[in-house]
Amino acid sequence: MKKWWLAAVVAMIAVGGCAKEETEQKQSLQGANLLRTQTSGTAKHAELNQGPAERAASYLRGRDDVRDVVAVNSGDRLLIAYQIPHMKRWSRKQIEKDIDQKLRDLFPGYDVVSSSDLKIFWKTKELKANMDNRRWDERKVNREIRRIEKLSKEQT
Amino acid sequence: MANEKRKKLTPVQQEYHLFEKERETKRPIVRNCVCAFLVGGIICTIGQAISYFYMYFFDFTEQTAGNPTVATMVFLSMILTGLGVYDRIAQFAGAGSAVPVTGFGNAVISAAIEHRTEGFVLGVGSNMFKLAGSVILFGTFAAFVIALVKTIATQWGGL
Amino acid sequence: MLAMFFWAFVVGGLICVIGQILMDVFKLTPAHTLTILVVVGAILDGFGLYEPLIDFAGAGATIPITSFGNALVHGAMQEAEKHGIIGVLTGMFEVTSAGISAAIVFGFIGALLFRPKG
Repeated sequence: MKKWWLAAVVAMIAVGGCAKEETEQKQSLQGANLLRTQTSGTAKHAELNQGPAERAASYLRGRDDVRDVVAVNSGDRLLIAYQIPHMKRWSRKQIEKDIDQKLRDLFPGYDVVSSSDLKIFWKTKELKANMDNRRWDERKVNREIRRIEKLSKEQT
Repeated sequence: MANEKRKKLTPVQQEYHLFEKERETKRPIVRNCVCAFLVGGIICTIGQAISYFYMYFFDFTEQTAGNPTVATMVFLSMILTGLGVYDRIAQFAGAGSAVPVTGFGNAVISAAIEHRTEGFVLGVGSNMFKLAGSVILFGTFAAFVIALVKTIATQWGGL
Repeated sequence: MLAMFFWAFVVGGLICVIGQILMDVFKLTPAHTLTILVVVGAILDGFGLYEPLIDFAGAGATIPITSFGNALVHGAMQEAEKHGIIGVLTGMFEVTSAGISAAIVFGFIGALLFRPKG
């Protein structure tokens, strides 16, 4: 019986200790994560190659019904926000449709989100600035892109 | 007015009619239109500023910013109506203050305030939409007919 | 953005001028004028003409009462696309709810706060 007790106590301590250790491990893991994002900034940056975004932006800049473009890509997502010159806003719906179709044809492997909305434009610009400053890692960028995408789909 | 009606009148009445027409104060249409244009334009510009405010500080897009903007305009109209400022603007601006959504708000709110003395249920409750009710009724019915026609047209046209 | 303010001012002002002309030249009461404008807004949206105006003039098109008719048709059409013909009835106030509910709520608050004048 005494041995049983001892075993139980030892087990309890072991489990408790392990639990504590686990949290410590988590913390250390987080530290590692932090370290990794800090040290491998260049590698991450290379991974978030903005080539497709650049190409999309330069294509849109060539159109005469687009005034200002900002584009961002991450993974298979391509987010493009642009502004239509004011006098052409009458046909905004058609321009949006046309640009969306053209971009889908140009980037078949990408999940293309395009918008002429001012708010989306601001948000994308902010995101791009944050990415250029290398403060954000890919996960955060992805989350932000998804958030903007959801916002752009909202109606009424 | 109708000419047939005038022929039935006695000469004296016709004379009076002309006299009345001469003395009738002419509505200064051009001046009224300029006032309506300026005040209506300013109200819409304020609305635009409010919707940019919502877009800038909150997560509203150009499309979704419309609803909070309208609500804010109606709120402002409540304040101005309650303080008696809106009536003074309306005297000067005519349609300029009536056509924007603030005019709709003013119609509802002023009716609510005016009939408050008759109690909340019988006074405020039943008189609130006295003026604005026709707008809602005809707007809704026209929208119903148009949407119905359009839906049937697109569905049968599509088939 | 400045262009937006400018055109909101101009378009909003012009819609009000149309209202003023209805009142002065055709000698209609304000209630008749507003009713006509709402119906006109609904008809314009029926032909798909009001949406471009909103894109062009922003609040200049959404603040005047014409947008009320537009929003009613719009909500009905949106819902009709999803649920068929019954959506015309159920979706009617989907988009417009803000204006009416704000008017009701603030109207009641106004009645609580302010006293009738004169």
